[in-house]
Amino acid sequence: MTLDPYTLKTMLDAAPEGVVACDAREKDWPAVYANGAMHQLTGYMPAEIVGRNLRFLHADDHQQQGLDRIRAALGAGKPCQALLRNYRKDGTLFWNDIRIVPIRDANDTLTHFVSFHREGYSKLQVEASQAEQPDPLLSTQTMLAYVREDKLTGLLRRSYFEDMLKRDWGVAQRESKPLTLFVFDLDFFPQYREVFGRAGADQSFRRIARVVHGCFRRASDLCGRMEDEQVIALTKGMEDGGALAFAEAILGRIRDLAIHHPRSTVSRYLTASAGVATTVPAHSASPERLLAAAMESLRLAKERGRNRAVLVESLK
Amino acid sequence: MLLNDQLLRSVLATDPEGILVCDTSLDDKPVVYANPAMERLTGYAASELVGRSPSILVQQTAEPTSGDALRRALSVGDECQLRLRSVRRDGTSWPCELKCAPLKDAADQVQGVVSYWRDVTGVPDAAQSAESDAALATAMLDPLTGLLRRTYFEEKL
Repeated sequence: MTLDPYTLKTMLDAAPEGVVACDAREKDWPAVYANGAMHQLTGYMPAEIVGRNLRFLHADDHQQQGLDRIRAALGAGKPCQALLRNYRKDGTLFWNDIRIVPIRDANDTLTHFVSFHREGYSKLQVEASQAEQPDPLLSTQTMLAYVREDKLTGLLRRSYFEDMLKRDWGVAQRESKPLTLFVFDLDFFPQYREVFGRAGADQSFRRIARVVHGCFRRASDLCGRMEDEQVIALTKGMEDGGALAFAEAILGRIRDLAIHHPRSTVSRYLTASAGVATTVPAHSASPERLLAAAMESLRLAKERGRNRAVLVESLK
Repeated sequence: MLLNDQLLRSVLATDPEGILVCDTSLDDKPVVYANPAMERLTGYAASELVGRSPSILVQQTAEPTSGDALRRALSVGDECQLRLRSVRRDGTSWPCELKCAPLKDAADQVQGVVSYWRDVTGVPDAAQSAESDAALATAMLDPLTGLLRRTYFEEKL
């Protein structure tokens, strides 16, 4: 058999990896070829890819380290590899593991860029999947961690958090020390999940949970996962004014992650609202009251336009 | 099409996946093309592979099924995907995921089979999902409903 151009093209068409060739001699490097695997990966038919610059795959998600690296390498005519957030035709996010190679003709003139695309996984996902592999020698301690901790975020599970809250309530009651409870709730998160799918939403939630957790690092602080999109935290010995400013600062950190949220009406980025309640536990009160007060603050924060923190002054 | 013979060959040569073409019209399905990625994966130079049977790439002794699977994949001429252990020139072996597709000429006659080889070291095989540990059951079940927790459910899925 001979390898004629028809056969060679079939070899590319059938490849399991996405392959795209772009013409480097044309202005704006339009794609001149895309194979079938590219359709499976992105949802775009080859005919929809041909004629366009591949940047349309990352939509308006321009703030990506990989993009700078690609630009620098292509400008210099060098091969490169990057992991980019790209969006399928239906708008869902996927990680595109891209390798780009410049092709030169016999006269050493740059004629094409060829890119190979494969579904990749972000570092966070890779770390998580390694961490989640069940260990055959599971000790009692790791067993307990499984029971106590939320698997997605590593925060405390709700049931365990509530047990700990009861204990700390008793201690604060005896010592007449203030307890402060924070509830963080992501704004328009159901919409976010609709746009990016469960996996994308889980990953963003994990990043945010990590940021919030990072702000409660004292040994006596507790940080847990409440509902699908809520993080709850308990801290001791904080004054009213300080608590509100602290909550605002955490909301600022969440905004600073700059996670793009196309369907939020309050910001371009994913934001959160915070409900704060603080009290010196009275002998007649129960911890459920503190939790209810924080939830009420959260409701007010949502009502007053989201992306803010509200504090309930004292418990009724 | 805007792609000429020269460009197609360049693209295939830079593909990070191993590509092997076998001529199915002959009995031992000799290799007629191997790209540089295939040279890196197997340790054989393309010139050494061309003309030989691809069975030298498959571990013969330990798992006879690998050889059978490859033979079947090369003879049937349908698209298929399989996992096997391949053996390098120096005798070491590596886990490989293989995708095969028929190569037809303009008259729609199958001339050969193209196969794409990928090293899957460390990539778990979906078909061989790990058995669940009975001791983990308490951690995996939701205390309220007794159903699987969502994260475990998705993992099992």
